[in-house]
Amino acid sequence: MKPLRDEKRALQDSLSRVLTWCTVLAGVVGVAGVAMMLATRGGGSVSLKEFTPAAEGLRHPASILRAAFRGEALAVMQCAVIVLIATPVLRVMAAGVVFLVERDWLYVAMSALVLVGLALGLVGWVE
Amino acid sequence: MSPEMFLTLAFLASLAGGLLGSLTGLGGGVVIIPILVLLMGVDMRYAVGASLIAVIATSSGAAAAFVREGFTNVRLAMLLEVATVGGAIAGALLAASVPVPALSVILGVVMLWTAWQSRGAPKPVAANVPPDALATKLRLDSTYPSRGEDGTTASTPYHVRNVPGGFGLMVLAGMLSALVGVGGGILKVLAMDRVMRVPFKVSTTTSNFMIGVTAAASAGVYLHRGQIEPTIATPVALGALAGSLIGARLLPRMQTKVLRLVFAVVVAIAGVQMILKGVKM
Repeated sequence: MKPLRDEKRALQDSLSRVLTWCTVLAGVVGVAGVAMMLATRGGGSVSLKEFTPAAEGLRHPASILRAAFRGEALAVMQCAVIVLIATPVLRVMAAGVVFLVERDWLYVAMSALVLVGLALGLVGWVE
Repeated sequence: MSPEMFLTLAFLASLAGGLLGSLTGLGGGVVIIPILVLLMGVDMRYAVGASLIAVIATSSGAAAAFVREGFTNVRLAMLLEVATVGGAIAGALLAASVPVPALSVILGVVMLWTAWQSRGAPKPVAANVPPDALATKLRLDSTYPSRGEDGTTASTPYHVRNVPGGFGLMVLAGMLSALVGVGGGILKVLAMDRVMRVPFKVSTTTSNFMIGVTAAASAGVYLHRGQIEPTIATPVALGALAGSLIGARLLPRMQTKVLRLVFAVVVAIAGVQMILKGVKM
């Protein structure tokens, strides 16, 4: 087993990289979506006083992606949200992989448990 | 409200939320939700959905810097996340048989007491106390960049204490967040700061790392229910991202004393909201 200091460095660097790329991606997609919304919507007004569930197409990752590729502004905006929701999943996976490389089995198991918990929560949307 | 005005207000509200959330490790929902609901007239269900996304954004935005600089204790985060997830599942199963309004009021009062308590640092652990055997076995002891009186930063080692106590409190934290919706972040920081005696900045940044994972687990349900409306969720996410990046730059330079005060104020705000929510139910 490598000394703890090097291990800590490796874990820090790979996790930090995953987090940075995910947030940059979410930021860029989000700004693009907002710009598209403002460009297409023009005037009008926004009010969210009454709750009507978001459109069906904006509730599932697959349909959001499809609509975003068709160039629908709201779907592009929602894409940024999907990237953000995926970030913690990737974060746990990245940590798990680093623990695996270090052969730190206890923490590999813990990362796997957390992933299962996340999956259970996310599958909630298949309800 | 014109779209430009609406987007700008949502962005600014969550900028403040992301900044405070990343500094305190609490996510910033307590700041964002009241502004969206009371000031902008957004329906509570949209506000809760958007706030959940803001918490994930805050966590992800700041964590990159906190992890890179060595504040976050990733092993500790993973261990405590196992406890939170277990607690959340137990909480979801208990939901039908627990009086949630009463629980909200009790939790609100506990938060106010906590805010009062957390103004100052806990008594330091005596130097002759040996390291916790379980913490050593789990390889939780680590180092963090601490800032000295003269402004220089040094890598300072620390020990993690009372692992079973912290783990137990996190199971409770998971249960409570599943039952009443919020409060998870506060118990996370308390478990690390007061029970496990981890340095305060390590506690808040490690909590910041975890809250994104906890929030993502429930994001699926909100997305499916249609509570994630991009018109509000996306500007809020962008604002929280920006705020969290500012927070990540500020935290290393901030005095722990000041950070504790900010934490206490945010917890007090959360406590008042919790009591009001319980009374209204």
